Amino acid sequence: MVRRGLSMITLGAMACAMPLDAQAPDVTARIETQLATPTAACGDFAQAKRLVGLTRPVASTGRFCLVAGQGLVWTTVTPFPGRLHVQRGEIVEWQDGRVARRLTARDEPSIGVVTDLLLAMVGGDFAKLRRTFTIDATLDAGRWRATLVPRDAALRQVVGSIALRGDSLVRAVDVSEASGDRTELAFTGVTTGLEALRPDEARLLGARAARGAPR
Amino acid sequence: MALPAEASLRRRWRVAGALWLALVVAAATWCAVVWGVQRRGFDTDLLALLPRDAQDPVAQHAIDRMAAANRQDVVALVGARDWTIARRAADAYVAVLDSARDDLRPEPSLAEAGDPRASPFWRWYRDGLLTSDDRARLGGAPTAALVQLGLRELASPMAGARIGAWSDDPFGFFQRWWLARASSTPVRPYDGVLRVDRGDSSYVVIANELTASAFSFGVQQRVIPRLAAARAAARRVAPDVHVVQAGFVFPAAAASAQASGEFNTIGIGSLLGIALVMWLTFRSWRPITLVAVSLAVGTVVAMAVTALVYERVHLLTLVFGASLLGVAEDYGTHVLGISDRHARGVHRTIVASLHGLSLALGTTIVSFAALASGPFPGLRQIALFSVVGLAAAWLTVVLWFPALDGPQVGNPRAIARFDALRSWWRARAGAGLARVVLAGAALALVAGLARLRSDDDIRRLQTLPGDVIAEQVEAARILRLPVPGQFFVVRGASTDDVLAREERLRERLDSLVTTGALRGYQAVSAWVPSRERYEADRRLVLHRLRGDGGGLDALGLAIGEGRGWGRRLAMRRWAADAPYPPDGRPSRNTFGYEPEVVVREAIPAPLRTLWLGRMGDEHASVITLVEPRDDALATIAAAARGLDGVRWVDEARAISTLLGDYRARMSLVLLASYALVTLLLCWRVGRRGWRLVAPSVIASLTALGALGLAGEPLQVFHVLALFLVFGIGIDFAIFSTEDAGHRDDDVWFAVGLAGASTILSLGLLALSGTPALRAFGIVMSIGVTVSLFVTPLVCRPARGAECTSCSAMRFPSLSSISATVSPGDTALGSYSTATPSVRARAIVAAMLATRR
Repeated sequence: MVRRGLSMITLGAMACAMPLDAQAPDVTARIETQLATPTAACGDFAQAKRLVGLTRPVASTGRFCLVAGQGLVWTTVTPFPGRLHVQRGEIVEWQDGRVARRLTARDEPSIGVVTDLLLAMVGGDFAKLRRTFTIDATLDAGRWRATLVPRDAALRQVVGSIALRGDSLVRAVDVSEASGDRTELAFTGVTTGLEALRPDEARLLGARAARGAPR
Repeated sequence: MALPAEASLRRRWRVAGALWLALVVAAATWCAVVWGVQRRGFDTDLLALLPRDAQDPVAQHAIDRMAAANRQDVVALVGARDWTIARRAADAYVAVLDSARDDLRPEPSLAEAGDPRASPFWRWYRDGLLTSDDRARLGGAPTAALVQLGLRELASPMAGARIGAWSDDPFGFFQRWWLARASSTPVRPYDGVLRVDRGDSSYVVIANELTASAFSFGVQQRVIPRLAAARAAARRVAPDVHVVQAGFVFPAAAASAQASGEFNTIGIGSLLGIALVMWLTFRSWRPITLVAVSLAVGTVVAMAVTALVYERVHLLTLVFGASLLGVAEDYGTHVLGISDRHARGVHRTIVASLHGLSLALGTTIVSFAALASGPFPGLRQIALFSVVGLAAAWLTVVLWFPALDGPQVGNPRAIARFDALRSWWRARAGAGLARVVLAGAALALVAGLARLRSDDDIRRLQTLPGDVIAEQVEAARILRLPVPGQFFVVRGASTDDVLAREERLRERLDSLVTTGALRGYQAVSAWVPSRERYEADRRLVLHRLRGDGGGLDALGLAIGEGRGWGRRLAMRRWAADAPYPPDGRPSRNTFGYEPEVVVREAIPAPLRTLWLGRMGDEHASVITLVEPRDDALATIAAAARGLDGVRWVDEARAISTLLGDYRARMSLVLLASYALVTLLLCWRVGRRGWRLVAPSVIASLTALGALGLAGEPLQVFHVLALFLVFGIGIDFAIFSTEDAGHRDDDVWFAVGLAGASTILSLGLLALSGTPALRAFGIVMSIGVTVSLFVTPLVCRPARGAECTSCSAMRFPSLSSISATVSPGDTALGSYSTATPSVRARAIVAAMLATRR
């Protein structure tokens, strides 16, 4: 499972899938076989933004939950409570128990691409990521690192590169924007299986997961 | 009968005929000058036919501009569930087009849409670009709330979703503004092409434009098969590949195909029919050629005179006027039907017919001229055209036919058989059973008339194949294109004025979007704010965010950056920004917002057609609508109410209204014409004049009743045909009752011949797939047929002993006519030596005299 928190709109607006030279490097293939594909995975995240014009990184922490085929719930705890619910083609932002913003592919087409890519990252779907990025990966004793560079020059001017790190799951995402801004995400305490979901997360992530949760 | 000798008539006719030839040649030359040398072209603006005070040149220009803007475009959407397959299919599609690029070239403008880097203006002016939500937020929210907003943006994983660095836009205002702009189109540059998603399919958008007119038949014939081949090639890539092709050329080509198909069926059918009739009766092409010559001369002279009076001849004038000229066929046929004209002398025969011919012409001219009454410029032009055309065709028959006439006369057996038919019909129609049938038919007619309603909706006249239309609609829906023909026109004294007025209208439209009355709209001012709006927003941003103790400083404190952070940030950004304007002019003064420059340089290409620019003393623009709900159009239109310089334009509705107005006006004129002509005929032929009108009235009522029974709503083309039924029916009646010394069966034969060829030419249009032509054809065929049946029952030759009612008709004695034509040998002697103008006047005097 992979993660990211980054450049979603611009990524989508200019994302570029170029599957033409379908190079299937051995390393990513081996990473793929190694990646677990759990029905659900939940854990804590720590995000640090290193932004141009700021002397100190901006930190936030919280919890995330991914259910395969259902979507992702991203709950920020500090410094502000807030929640993001990402499904294919839709991103809903919650504030104080209310929907604060809803972005849909119907209104903004790039949302469809954004959510696809995001869920591909979260699901560790290298096959999908390869369409948009060239992937340079190393694997050493069960731990892997991958550097994703957008194939499209226009997208490269926004998202410089994305570094992923993990083992059977994605453990860290580091996005370096062309503007100089950087976002680092680390995932800890990840548990898998539907029972990892909390009831409110299960509610958002669909009835099937909700029924599965108590088991 | 004291008619002048044939020889003396021939001499005079030769002079008059030559004069008329000179006039016709002059008219033809003038036509050649107007359309060949000056290349005036025809006026096609339907709205130019509106009454003058209802016209609006700016709205008209907007309609033309919007129509012309996309006329050459050919857009293909090649889609599949899998994007890679869509790409491959699109490549296959383009490869076919690339094999021959002479008619289609790739159109790049769409690629600019949605690309934030297309213009540096937006970045430069971003401090004055706010969405209405953010404007309200900045106007009302306390600084603490702004800080919260900034912190949330920072903490949220969504915060990175931005153009440029976070510090350029810490609160996300520009980001939100840009997203709102970009949402006007679902098309996104992606993967080096344009992409649009719909349902679970992704489409590659392939935009091309025609290098030559989409109206050109040759272009259509080359392009349509190639596009079909490209579609087939794309589909071969994978079974689920879906191709949607759209562009004006598709309906245009479908219309051309339909027209040429009908030309082949209806046209050839009607030609064969007329040829058969002519062969059965004359065994010669000459008579029909002569009639055609009279109609052609009528058309040419009418066009010349109309072009002399009006700067531009309207296409509708040509269509309506030329069909009204169909009445003129009766004149020629009447003369050619007289079998004994050679024995009597062709000239003498014509002189004998002059009264009837004049009466026929006079009655028709009265009604057609009445079209000129009222405020409609189009009807005035049609009136001029048809009156001049009728007179010219008439003159051609009278002046040229004696010289051009051949030896052909009607086949005696055909004439005899036709006459027998009439006698049989006369005998039968009065019999008991026939009365019952006729009474029943009359009742049905009354029922039909009671059910008759009218519908002038222009869309009823639209006849394109369903699949062509469906594909256009599907493409428009996927691309979320604005609807054509329904939009707002905004005008003002300057660019800035127009933008400000657009903004006031957009406030209303925004609330309509919220209520779901429409999906959205496209407006230049959504991208380029007016100066006032820009400066107000910029002041707001500076005051609330960048000022000392403003949002930026407060945010800086909240994240531990210390005091003055906002100022430092601003300096950094100012130093990093690209100089404005891009041409290197020295001004980097952010107060120097020039909407004129932005409109000129930076509007995304697809929106450029919205900007009409300077028009005389004014500037104007258009706001188009995306997916308005049909039942909300009235509400949307009402948004223009009370706003200065804003006008709602609904082209289809305006044209429908126009057609309705024309239908109403023409119906009124027709009714008035019946009254007027009845009076005129009573004055000429006595109390029984009504009998001459009766066949037309019965024929028209029958046609109307049939329309009502069939549930076909009445429209202007029916009424146009009723004008012809009026003219033709009265001609039949006049010729049938005139005592001009012709054989009764000859006259009836000519009437039948004229009726048959009218039905075969104009009546067969009832089989057309084009609703306007079909409407015209249905009324023509019913009307002329009924006229043919009713005429023998109501009108009988004046000298016929069996018709007491008609025998009372008083005709001017033929000797008095000939006396006016030929005042004496002295006059005749001076005639040949007189100057042309004197001769012309003499001829006119002679013409007038016959009509007293």
